Amino acid sequence: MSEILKDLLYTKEHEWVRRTTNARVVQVGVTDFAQSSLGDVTYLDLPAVGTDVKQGQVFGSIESVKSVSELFAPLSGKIVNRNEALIEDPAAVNTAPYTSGWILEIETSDEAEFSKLLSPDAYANVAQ
Amino acid sequence: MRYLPLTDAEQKKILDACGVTNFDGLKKAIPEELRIKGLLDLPPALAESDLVDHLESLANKNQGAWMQSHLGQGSYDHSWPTVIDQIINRGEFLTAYTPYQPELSQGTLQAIFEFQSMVAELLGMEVANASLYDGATSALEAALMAARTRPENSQVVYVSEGIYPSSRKVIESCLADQGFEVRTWKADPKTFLSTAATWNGPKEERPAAFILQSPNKWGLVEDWNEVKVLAERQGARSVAYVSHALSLGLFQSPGDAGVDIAVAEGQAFGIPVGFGGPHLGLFACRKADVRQMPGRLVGLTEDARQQQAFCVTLSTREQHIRREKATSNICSNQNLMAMRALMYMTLMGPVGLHRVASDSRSKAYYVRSALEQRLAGTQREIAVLQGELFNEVSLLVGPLETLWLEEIQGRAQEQGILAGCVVPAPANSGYVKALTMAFTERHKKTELDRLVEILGA
Repeated sequence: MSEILKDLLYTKEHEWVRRTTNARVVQVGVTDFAQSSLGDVTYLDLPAVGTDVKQGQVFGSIESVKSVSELFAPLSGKIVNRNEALIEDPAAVNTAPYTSGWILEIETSDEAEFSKLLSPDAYANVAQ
Repeated sequence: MRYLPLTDAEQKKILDACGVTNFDGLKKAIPEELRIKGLLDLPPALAESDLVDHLESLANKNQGAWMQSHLGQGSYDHSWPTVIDQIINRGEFLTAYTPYQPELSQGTLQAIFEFQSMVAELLGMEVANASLYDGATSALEAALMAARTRPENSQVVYVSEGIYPSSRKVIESCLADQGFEVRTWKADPKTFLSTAATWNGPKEERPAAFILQSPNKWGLVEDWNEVKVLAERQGARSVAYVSHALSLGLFQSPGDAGVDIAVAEGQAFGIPVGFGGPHLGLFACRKADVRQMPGRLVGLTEDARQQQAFCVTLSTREQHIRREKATSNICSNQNLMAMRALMYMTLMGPVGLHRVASDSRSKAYYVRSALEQRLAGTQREIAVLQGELFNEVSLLVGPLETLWLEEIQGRAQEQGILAGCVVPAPANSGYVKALTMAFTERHKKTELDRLVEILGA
C-alpha cells in the first residue's frame, strides 16, 4: 500500500505538489507509488533554475537502473529552486519521497491551473 | 570449433519436451504449400578429403589473398601474436556479447572493462565504450553525439577532405535521413592537410561538429590541434577520427590535444584484413559527456557484499530502454573483434605498439625516398606527396598520367603485387589522382624494392 499524504495535491503522472509559505511557490516531487515502481533512482535530468515550464509538458527525466521516466510539470511557471543535494545523491527519492526527496520549486503563473490537480482521494484511484 | 553430437536419448528428450514424437512433428508450423517435396537438387556427397580438395580449389581462386598487398584505406595487413587465434577460439570468447546478467558473466565483463580502459588510455580520453562496428560508424555516431550536445547549433557537420571516401559515404547516408548536411572542410592544395586556416565557412557559422581524420586518405598525419582550435572558435564540437589504430603508437593522442570526442578504426589491432571486415570501432569521450555517448558501457562497482563486480552500466542511454530518445540505435558492441584487440594490446603493450608502428613508418619513408630518387628530374606530372607520414605513401599523377597509373597498377598485378588504392587528389593541387600505398612490418625489403622497381619504370 503506497503512502498518500492528505495535505498535498497530485497528478496522474504520480507527482505531488505542496504549497509553501510563499503563496505563489510550490514544491514538487514524485509519489511513494512512483519511487516504488521505479526502483532505486540513479539519476535526475533537470532543467536549470530560471527555466519556464508549462503544465503537462515534459521538463526532465528520472532514471533508475533499468528504466527512465519523463517528469511532467504539474503547473506552469518558472523554476526557482532545485534540490541540488538530490541531484548529487538521488537516494532520498526512494527513502523520503515527500520530504527530503523533493525535486523542484516552481513559482506558479496561473492559480486556475490548480483545479486540474488531483485530490488525495482522486489520486488514490490512480495509484492502484 | 568443437563437435557436439546429440545422442538418440538426448534427441528424444528434446522432442518430448516439445510435445512431438519425431522431427517432422516440429514442421507443423510451416504451411504445407511451402514445404519442399523430395530432396534438394544437390550433387552426390563427397568423401571428406575430396571435399577439402574441392573447397581448397575454390579458395585458391582468391588470388588477392596471396599477393604482396599494399592496399590500405582503413584495412591494413599487419601481423599479430599467434596465441590470439588460440585464445579467441575458446567458447566463452567466441560466443560472447555484452551480457545482461552480471551474475553469470564477470569474466566477459572484466575483459570488456579492460578493453575500454586501454582504449581510453590510448586515445587520451576519460571514458571509452565497449566498441562499435567500425571506424566509419563511430565517426557517424560522434557527429550525432556532437549534435545532441549542441542542440542550438545548425545541423551541419564538416568533414575533412582527407577522410576515406567509404567513411564519408557512411556518414552522409546516415545523416541525410536525419536532416543533416555534410560539408567538406577543404585541404590545402599544396600540403593536402585540413587546418583551421583552410576552412572557409562564414565566421558566424556554428555547425554541430568538425571531424578530422588522421592519418588521412593520402597517408599524411594531420594535426589534432587544428580541429580543436577550429571547433572551439566556431562553438562546435571537435571529433578526431584515428583511421589507423597503430598510429597511436607514435603520434599525439586526440585527448592530449584537447579534442572533445575521439573515434578510431581498430582493425590494425590483431584483426585480419578478411574480406574487408569485420572491423572494430573505438569510441571515447570526456566524463562530462558520458550520458550522451552511444553504445554499451561496462562499469566497475561493488555487489551487496562489497565485493568487486563488473556490470553493464548507464543502460538508460540505450534504445531498449530509452526508445526513440536513445543516444543511438546501437545497443550492442563488436565483442569478438574487441576481444582480439584487447589480446593484441595486452600482448604487445605500449612498447610493442611503438615498435610495430615505427617499423611500418620506416618502410613508408624508405619507399618514398626510393621513389623520389627514381623521379628526380622528371618532366612528367608524377610526384611523391611530401609531408609527415605514418605507413602510407602517395604517388600523385596529373591529368596526362592517369593512363600510365592504370597501366602500372596492371603491371604490378601481373607480378603478384597489389600496388595500392587510388583516391582523388585535392582540386587545384595540380594533380588528379593519388595512388596510396600501405606498408607494414610484414613487408620485406626485397618486396619494397620490387614495388619501387615496377613503379620507377
